[in-house]
Amino acid sequence: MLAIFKNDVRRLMEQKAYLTVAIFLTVCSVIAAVVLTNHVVAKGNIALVTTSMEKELTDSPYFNVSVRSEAPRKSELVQNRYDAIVYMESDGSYRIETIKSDEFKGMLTSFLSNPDTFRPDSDTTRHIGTNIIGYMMMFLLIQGMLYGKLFADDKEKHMIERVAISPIAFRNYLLGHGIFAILLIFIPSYSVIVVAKLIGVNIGLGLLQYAGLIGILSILSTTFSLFLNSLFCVADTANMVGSSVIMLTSILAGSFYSFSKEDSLFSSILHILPQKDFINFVNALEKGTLSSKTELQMVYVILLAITFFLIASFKTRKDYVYRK
Amino acid sequence: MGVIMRNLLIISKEDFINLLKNPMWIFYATLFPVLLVVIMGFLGRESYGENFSSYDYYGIALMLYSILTSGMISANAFMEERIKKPNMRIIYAPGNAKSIYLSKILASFLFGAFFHLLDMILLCSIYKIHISAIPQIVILFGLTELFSVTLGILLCCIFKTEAMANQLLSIVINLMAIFGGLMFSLDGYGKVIRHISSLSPAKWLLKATFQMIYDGNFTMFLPIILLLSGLIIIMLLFCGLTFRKEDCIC
Repeated sequence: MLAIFKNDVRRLMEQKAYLTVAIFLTVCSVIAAVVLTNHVVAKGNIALVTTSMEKELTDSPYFNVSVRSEAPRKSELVQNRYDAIVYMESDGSYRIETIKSDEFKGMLTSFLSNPDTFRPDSDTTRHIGTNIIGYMMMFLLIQGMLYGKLFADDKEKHMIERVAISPIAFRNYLLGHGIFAILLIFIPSYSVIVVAKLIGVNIGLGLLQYAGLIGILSILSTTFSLFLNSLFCVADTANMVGSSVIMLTSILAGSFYSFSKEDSLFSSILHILPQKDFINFVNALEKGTLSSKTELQMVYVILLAITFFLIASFKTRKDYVYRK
Repeated sequence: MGVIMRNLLIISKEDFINLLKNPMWIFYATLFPVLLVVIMGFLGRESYGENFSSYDYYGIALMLYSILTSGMISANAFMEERIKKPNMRIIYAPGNAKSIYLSKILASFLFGAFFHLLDMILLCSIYKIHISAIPQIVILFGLTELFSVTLGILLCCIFKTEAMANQLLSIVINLMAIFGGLMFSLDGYGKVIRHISSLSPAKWLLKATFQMIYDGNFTMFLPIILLLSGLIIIMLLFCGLTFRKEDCIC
């Protein structure tokens, strides 16, 4: 196992450009996650079109009101720059133009009629730590596919047949590759978080919690990539399938942005995806509402990672070891 | 000149057939974009009203995303294990070795553009996606397609390995897409995010498209077309500089 690990280190040292770019990209995506979440202002945006210059509606904690003399273009509504346009007449009556749902329109109407007592009826907002982890997740999972290349190369260039006749067990061989990849994913991304904490950026969760969470993510990412690479013999295919599957499932799981409401049938089906359970756990952890249910979800993620690894090692053994 | 063109066309035809033979790429160019739009549109449908559906947004934004990722197809077509030996034979054959990468650009452009156009027609007819200024949009998306396949080839020429080019592309494009609001619009999240978002080229393309469709505003069309064409020419020049025949020997 140690031999595989050392060999991996030497192999990547030979491809310094590859290594540098890979680590650079990990660092970039984590920085992007931290920067993005620290500047997000989750408010509705309203363009108030009025001819009189009196400002009745100033900024409220829920809506960002910008007073304009002419209506914004429709493409700005489409691109979500403004959630709604409110035309205010001189006699105080108003007309709302929006492409959003009637639910939103109702909420806006109640806001416009009494801005001071208005409270939106949703508490689905996430805290900053959950957002950072959510943004990082997809990139960290794709990183696993990147370092799975070492294993894929072994298969593509038939090195693995030599491993098969060597005394090393396949489980240990994969573990060697796995630990190497886990460290390569974990160290750069965690360092960014530590640096961010040191320079005083608000990261939400504690450093130890981040260590655990990023650790689990890197394990999941690596085992998934070993699993896929054991299924396919061509590195490109595994890579392409892997990145597209990870992208689709991460978006579905709502790692960036939560789409579906909880308690719907669709949302409960989505709990098959480890990303969904993971995000739920982080959310509960940050809000301090951990329950046995959310803990079970985390256990599920870890079990899934172990299953991926076991399948990978069984499949490889089946493919390359001759049976009596 | 005529002979060079003829050779280029013959090689491109083979490359095109080679692309068609791989089920993975067919899936990637046809089903994957449609799946993306269907899933994202389905998830987002509740937040929009009657006059505008989430498919109207994602049908455009995610097709742009798929077009931007077609660099991965061209990178694959250029340096896949299977294609290395045929490439080597072209070096030894009389004729211009440049046709190795030019033919890959041509073939993957035709492949990507054809299937993405098909996807677009399918999506527009199923979900009644609001679309206008069709000729301009076809030109814009077509040039973007050419841009992304050329980018894929250029990265292959620079890094000499397909895996590296592909990884780089997939992460850069995903970052660009997320910042540019292709997955979900970032414009509503405050001033700082809006400025970051407007740095992403994906955002420019999206903005130009939506302005053409919804406002009938074509001011961004010409500058973007010129920029894309300029970039494509520059990238082709760089391909010529960095491409070495020796790299194809295996």
